[in-house]
Amino acid sequence: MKIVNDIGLPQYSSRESRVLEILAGRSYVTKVLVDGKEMCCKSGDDWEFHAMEREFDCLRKVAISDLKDSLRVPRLLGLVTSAETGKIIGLLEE
Amino acid sequence: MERVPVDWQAAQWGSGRGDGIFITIFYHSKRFHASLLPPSTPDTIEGPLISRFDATADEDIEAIQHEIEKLVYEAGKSIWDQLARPLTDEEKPSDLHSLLYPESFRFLFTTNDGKAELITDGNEEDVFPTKALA
Repeated sequence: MKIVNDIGLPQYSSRESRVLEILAGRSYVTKVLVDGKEMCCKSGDDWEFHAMEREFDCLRKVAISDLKDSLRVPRLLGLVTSAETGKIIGLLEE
Repeated sequence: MERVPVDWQAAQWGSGRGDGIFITIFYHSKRFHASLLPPSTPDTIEGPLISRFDATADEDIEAIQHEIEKLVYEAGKSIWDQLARPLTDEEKPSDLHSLLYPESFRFLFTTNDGKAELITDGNEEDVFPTKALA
């Protein structure tokens, strides 16, 4: 996935992300417990990466804009990396 | 014919005109890839299935998908019992990695003596641990 973490988001391994609930698809949108906090996780296989890249791009733009506190969009909370490859495979949001 | 369990899910389907049918099945936290390839001999079960699948319009695809699901499930009955036994709540993996990348196995759907069977598609040893069937 072509995501550059230039806004200092914390990264968590896929092994340390505990799935509490599958919200949509087989694993694409899940409620996870990471670092003691419940978050929404978007992850999946290669064919879903393009959608995640677009979503990250949009949320990143909001996160670094002056309007970040007034726009009602989910906040990026972190990134999920593959426990095997270390590559980014998912987004963590509010 | 035995009913296909509700949690035996043929979740992803792929096909190319004349290339065959490729199904990804999830069952008891395991992933199975089953391929139906165009046969080189006549009188197979998979040959007419592939032709009919290719000729079916998208809006009518569910009926033949159900038919194929039943045949694949039935052909692999001993495999599901052996490789994908039901897990207790304690045994079910809860981490995201296991959900995204479950243990995976590859099979070919073929006809042997007029009967459908699943045989291992063993080119990927890391994907299909043959010892599991020993």
